[in-house]
Amino acid sequence: MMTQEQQPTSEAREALKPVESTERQVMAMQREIHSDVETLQGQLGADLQSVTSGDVRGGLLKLQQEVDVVGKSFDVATEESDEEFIKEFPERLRWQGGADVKKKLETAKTPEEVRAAYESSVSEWGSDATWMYQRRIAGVLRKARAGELDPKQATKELNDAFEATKNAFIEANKQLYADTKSFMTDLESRIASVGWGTDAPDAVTTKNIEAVFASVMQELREAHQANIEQAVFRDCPTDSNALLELDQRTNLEPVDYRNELRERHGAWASRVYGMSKGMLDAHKAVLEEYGGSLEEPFLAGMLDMQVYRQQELQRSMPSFLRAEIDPYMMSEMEDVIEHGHERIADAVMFIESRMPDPADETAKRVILTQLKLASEAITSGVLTKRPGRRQSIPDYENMIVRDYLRAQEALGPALQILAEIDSMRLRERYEREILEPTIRLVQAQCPDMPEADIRARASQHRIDVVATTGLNAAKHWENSGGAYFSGTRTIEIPMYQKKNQHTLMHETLHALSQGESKGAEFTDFSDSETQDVLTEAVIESMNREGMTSDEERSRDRIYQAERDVLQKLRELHTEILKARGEAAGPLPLSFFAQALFKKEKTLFTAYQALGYSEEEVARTKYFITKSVLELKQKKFQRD
Amino acid sequence: MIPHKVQLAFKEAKTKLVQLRKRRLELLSKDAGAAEEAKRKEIYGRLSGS
Repeated sequence: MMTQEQQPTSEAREALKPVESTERQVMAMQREIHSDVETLQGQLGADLQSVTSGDVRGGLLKLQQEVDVVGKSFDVATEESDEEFIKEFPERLRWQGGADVKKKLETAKTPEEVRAAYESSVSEWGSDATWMYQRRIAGVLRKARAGELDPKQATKELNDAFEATKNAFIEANKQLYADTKSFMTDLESRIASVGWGTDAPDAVTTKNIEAVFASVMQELREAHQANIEQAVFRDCPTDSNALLELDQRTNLEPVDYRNELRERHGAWASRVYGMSKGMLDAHKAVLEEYGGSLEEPFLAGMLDMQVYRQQELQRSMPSFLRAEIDPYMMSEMEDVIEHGHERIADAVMFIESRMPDPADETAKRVILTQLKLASEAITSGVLTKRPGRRQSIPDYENMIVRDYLRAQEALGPALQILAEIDSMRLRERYEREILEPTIRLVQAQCPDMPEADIRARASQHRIDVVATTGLNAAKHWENSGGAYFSGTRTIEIPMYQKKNQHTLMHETLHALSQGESKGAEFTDFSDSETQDVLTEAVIESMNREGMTSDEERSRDRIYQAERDVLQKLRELHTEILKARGEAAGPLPLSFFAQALFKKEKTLFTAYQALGYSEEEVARTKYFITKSVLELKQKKFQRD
Repeated sequence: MIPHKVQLAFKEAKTKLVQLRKRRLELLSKDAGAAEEAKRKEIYGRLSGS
């Protein structure tokens, strides 16, 4: 059992862990700002060498000075001494907390919003109170380690730290909540539930304080998320049905059609505006936590989205109407093309600057959804824009290519963040829902393979969602739900593709079959076509063994031709044995599966082990070569 | 948990840097983009039939 003198010291040691971690994070922020400053200064230096205008040169020199100030100001903020910080702490809480709450209260309309305003402010003070408390404890522990304090003094200083922090916090609360008794009661009961305010020092721990604020923050985030989702998906216009209905009314005169379409367009546009406003409000609520205003990039995103929706309407139009409406649409398109990529670049920079913390994912996700819409607007805007009869085609083409590349460049970082979030979510479920059932499939077909070996193989691969733009997706990933790359041992899933269990299990089987081998295919043939046919046939046949319903099995005909080859190959065994005068059924799938999951991945070694003569192996080889050739010819004719 | 005041200072610095980067781009485009913009406007003008 610990003595009275030892207890605070060990508690202090625990308390030092988070404070050291925080210090590391603060230093990382400092490094980031310094690196940003250096990069920008480097760019400005290079710019100064190349610009021609005198005015611009003057502007760049001024920028250099301002960049310097940014770096220095941040250093000052992070290096403020503990003493100064602690001294001004209670006053700052009252002043800043009061102002925050007042601002939020002015816009609150319901009791829930009033309560939320208080809670969000409390969480900010909580962060500072915890920080102050941690730093004081860290100071005491450092002195104790340096031999400047005996255990008794350390105990006293720690208790003083507890007291000072507690009193500062309670005092600030009292000031702020004087007029709101019901909220105060609620807060006090929360505080009482973790022991805050009691005399026992061990009841008031950093962990407890953090737990309270973490739970408050969690509630807030959930509330914000619900708001946003409601705003995003509420009344989301789906005009395709209405247009379809309109198209089917063949008795309409063109002029009536046109008028009706315009009317619908007007009604639809007003819904979009309504939705924009709802989303904007929800965004504001979330982003208030981060400070600053998001209005500019967000409004720009909304405008892009609106244009995108208008294009959808345009695409659904019959050609006689399109010709007439084109000039109107054209002015909208010009807007997107001229300003779209700049807005996106702004929004990406905004995200990078304001949301360095992974906890900010909610806001990030919503904004990135906007960016995706904007990117589609730009891409389709660029691609649907076409020259009139008399325009110069080369001019027009150059413009399209340049705009598209600029838009793509601006979107790159946003898409990357989005893909990382997708990957994280996919990985959370992948192990349980895909990897485990796939391991069972391998066990079923390869019963001699120790489970530990399969699991060791499983630990060697990873799954990633890959950032692709719509255009890239169409080019490289058409009809593909994902692919396994044996070089990097990675299963890559395209970002905007639906993720299905069938594909993921198929690719996981490839990953598990690789093991210590260099590649994931059979090595009997040097041409990749034959390797692929054999490997895909075995993998997909194994995959189908794991499917429980006929519906799943018949869902698509993936690798059907390859599986037909395998089926005939299995039956060939019966014929070969019949020629010897022996009776036998087709070779089981597990024969092929085991050959593929062995390190060497050679099918013919397996046939030899089965007792095949050289001639019988040669007959099998000939059969495979012939079947792959026929399959190639069929594909060639079809394409 | 990063202290609120450091978070605020970080956000301020980052925001300021974004503004400065944007101003840099504006200055550069002012220096180099005049001719390109004129051509672009001309193309748009022709495309929209004006």
